[in-house]
Amino acid sequence: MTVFEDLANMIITGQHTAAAEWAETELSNGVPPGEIIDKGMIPGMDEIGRRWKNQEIHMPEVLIAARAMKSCMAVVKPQLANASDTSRGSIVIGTVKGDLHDIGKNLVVMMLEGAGYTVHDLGNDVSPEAFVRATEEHGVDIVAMSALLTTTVPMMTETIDALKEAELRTKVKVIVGGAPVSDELAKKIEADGYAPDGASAVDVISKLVTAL
Amino acid sequence: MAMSHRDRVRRALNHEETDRVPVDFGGGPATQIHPTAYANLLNHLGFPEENLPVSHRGEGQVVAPSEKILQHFDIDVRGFYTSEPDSSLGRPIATNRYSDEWGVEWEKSDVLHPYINVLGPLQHISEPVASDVDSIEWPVADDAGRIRGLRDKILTVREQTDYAIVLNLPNSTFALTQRVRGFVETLEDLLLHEAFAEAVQEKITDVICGIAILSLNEVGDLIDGVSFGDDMGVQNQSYMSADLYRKMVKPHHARFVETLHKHTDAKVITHSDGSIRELIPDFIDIGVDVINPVQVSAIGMEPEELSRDFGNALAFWGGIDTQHVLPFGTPSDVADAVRGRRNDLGKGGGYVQASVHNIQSEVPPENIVAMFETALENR
Repeated sequence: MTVFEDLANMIITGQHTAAAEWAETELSNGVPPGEIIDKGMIPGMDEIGRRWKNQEIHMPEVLIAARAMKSCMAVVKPQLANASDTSRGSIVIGTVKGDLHDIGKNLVVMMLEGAGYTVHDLGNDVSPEAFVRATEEHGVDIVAMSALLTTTVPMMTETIDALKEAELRTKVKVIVGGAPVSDELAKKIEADGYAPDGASAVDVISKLVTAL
Repeated sequence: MAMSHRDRVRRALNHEETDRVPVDFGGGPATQIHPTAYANLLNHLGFPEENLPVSHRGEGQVVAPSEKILQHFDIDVRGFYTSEPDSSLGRPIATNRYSDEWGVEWEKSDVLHPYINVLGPLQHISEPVASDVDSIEWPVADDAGRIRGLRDKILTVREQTDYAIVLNLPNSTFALTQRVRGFVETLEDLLLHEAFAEAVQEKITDVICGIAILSLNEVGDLIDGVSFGDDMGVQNQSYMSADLYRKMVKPHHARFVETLHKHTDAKVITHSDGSIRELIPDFIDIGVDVINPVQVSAIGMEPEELSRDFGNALAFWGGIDTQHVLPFGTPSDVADAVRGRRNDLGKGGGYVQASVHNIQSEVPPENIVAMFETALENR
């Protein structure tokens, strides 16, 4: 019998080699790849998200769990007939123009991928035009922006304006985050959501996607 | 009772009452100001343009305020730095990209934004082992270029003024490890590649202890504070649990701080951004005297509580919020913050006022003036 809890625990404890091997074995036993993701990987990363939000763990534990999740995904993904069937939603994400800080944004990407979302990561120093292009190209549900410098926060407004101009604003939900960003600021710039950390970003996006 | 600037700082750092809270502006790499905000400040004060050299290296992208401005606001501290070594691995790579003496590559987005480190020489190794540390060239600590002219510069200020003097050393073990190895990789190594994490930190600590000894043998008798930076926190928690810190990082910090104390009587000031409350008891344990910048907007860094829980053992340097109050507040919000910190962090001494980090480009000059003028009020 396939005990998905074993995989979840390997992910929670960051055993990337063991997690990938487990997935290989179970795939060869005929376990559908979608089930490995839904019953093993996602519950594992959910638990990591819960512990992180409660400050029970810190970045090192989160990072090695995400690494294990990625190793496992590398084995499972090629076996999926249609990857988008299992996706909970799609997101384009980036650090706004003028800002090269991407550590927080990368943590959000890891948590979102771990939760089963398809993430198009545009990296850092992403111009409003690049956000617009990627939104059109990938037909995403969510546009997620990050900024660390107080100086680059206005670029979030410019990006939202660019989405409006391209007539995309009503088609997507916009979420913002980063150290100087707050719930208040998110409302002021008419974003649809704000999350203070990577684990909460998953919760906020999950609500926004459900509302779409 | 009027005090000399130096006495004021020394007393405050010894947890004694002072006539007013001592104030720092530009005395260290994280209490400076963005060139745009500085130009606006000069203009607001009716002072002529200064065209100071902008620090384009490191994370700064800042200017150190001129002596004229420091005297205008009666700033108590003067800061000094070690210099680049004569023989360095550092070199320009492209426009807006260079490598430093550790072989770390830095890049910036455009002229007025800060550089950030983007690639380290040990970052590419996916499963590193201890011997990988020997695969790259390391900086030579004992290089005369680092301290050339330093004693004369500091001696002049020491003999001709009464300002408190801080020597700012380069970054410390963990920040350098993260640059050389990568931010994410370093945090993963603490759990996945312990022997390598140990070896690379050991190597880096050897080099920075060497730089510290060289510098303090030269000027250790002339300074009131010696400062080093090692960020250990993000907005909502420390980089790692106190347990993991104790096991993997603290021994290196302990060796470094011990080296500093051995070579100077000056107070040891540690700079760490972010939420570091969980680690503060260990900082105190290894002999840190002062923490900067006291990022009061981070989780767990409420100044009343820090003062209550650690104020007897630790002095605070910083505390004026740069994430909300300075850029987005009014001058009266800024004045409230200054008075607030005087009453919590500064209760019974133990506090030097400074902005939590470098003053960013959009900070209105009115807010900067409010910060420094409110500081000059009597207690």
